[in-house]
Amino acid sequence: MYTDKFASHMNRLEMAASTDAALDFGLQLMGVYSTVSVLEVAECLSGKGMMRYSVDELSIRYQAFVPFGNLAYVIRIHDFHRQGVSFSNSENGVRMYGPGTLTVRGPGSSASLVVSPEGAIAKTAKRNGHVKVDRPLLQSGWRFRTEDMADWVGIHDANKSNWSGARSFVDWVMSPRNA
Amino acid sequence: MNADQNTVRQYIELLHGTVRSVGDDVLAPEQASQLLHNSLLPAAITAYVSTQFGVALEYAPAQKTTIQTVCGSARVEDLVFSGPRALRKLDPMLLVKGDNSSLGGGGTFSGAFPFRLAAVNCDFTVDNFNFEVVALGWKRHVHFLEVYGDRSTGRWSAASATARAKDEVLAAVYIARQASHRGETLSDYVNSFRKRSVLVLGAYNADGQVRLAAITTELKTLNYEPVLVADIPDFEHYDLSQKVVAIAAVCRFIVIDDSAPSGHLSEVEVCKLNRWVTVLLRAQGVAASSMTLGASISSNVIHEMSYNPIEPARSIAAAAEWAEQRLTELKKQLQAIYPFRATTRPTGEA
Repeated sequence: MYTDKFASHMNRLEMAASTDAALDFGLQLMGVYSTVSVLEVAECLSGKGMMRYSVDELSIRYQAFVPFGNLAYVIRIHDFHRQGVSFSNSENGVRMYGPGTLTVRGPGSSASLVVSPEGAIAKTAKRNGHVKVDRPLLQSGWRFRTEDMADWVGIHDANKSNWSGARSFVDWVMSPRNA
Repeated sequence: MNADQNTVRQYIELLHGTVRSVGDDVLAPEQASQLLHNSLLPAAITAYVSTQFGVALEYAPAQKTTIQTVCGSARVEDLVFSGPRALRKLDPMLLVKGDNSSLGGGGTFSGAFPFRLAAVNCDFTVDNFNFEVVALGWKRHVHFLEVYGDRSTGRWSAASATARAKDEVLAAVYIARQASHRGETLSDYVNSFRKRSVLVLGAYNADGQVRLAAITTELKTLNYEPVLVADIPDFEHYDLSQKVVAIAAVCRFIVIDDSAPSGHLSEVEVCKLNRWVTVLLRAQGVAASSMTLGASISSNVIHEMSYNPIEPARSIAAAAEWAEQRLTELKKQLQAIYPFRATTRPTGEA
């Protein structure tokens, strides 16, 4: 039943997409939240001792089922906790969740951050310098990328893959042997 | 006392004037034109002077060089990135802690205030970068920007402008001179400079020069390029320890002949302070001073060893082997701490 409800929710999102660009993007973001929420609900159940798997085991299984799970997680925290993720006409803009830090201590030290027009991030620190970028989210129009991804992915493609994987994850979570 | 608009304007004029005049004196025209503050001109230079925190210099390409000043009571970052009131309330994309840090590459930061300096002693350089906050309809391109937390008159004095200009020229002169001696192009030389250069310090009296010559000869046979402080051109406003710091910072490691009392005793302290990989060589095991004895006990980047100035080959080879091994270990250890270094070639890594 839960799987059917989840599938129905995702189907409605898919059907609503492409009717209006702004609405579409908003719905895609809702899909991102839904994708992440299935893991969070499962983790909550695990924390209350209602599941046989630990939070870490659930997370590993979730990553296996949901191909862009980390991207969904990063988009969600940027949208919910920061300024909100909106459609951007800019090419390859980079957001960071918390302030990135460039730390330099002492003479001869340096720290530099280079972000190319394509969104590639290079961090260089010399001697006692340190560069930290906090969960960067790269965005180029409708396409997104996190540091662990080799290439860009469109929000629609990512969501379709994630929704399919999330359904399988819910099936697996709700199967009687896992209770 | 803090700098005002006139002080900063005079600083800019003196900085560029000194870079131009000293650069023209000691460098070939094509090399002089590559000096940072020459390469930025002609430009519309805007000096932002905050009465609250910081000073910034922004360069935008222009047909003719002009200097204008902007003064305000807001923090300097807010003067530079003036925009909707809501912009300055956003969290910063970057927090800059310390000096000598930079951002560049032509990319774009979206959705946050560009950056903040964490303290007065911080400075930050932005080279060709874009900032935007789509929700506020705000967008800004920076061609070249230097931001400083320190707005004291001492930092923006004429002496400071001259020293900085000569610092910039000094590094270029040194590299150009070494490249010229080796008959290499400047770019080839820069590519291999850090891999080969070893700074050799010690006494410059008659006996000391003999020992330094023996050490440098052996280093050359090991395919290093020994660098003596005497090789570096002197400038009126540059003292010896400043020269040592400037050159040691870009050398692979440092060898000090610690056999007779000389100025190197204070240079050992500079090496300790900066944690550079350093070998202390003592002729027949006799130290120049008790002050340097036991330096390796409290530091794993300092190595003390005895050598024979008449036959130094084996000792110099052992010293170089230790330094290389230590550098390799440090690289591995630091890569384990900073995993991104495994995929990003650090500055100075040949």
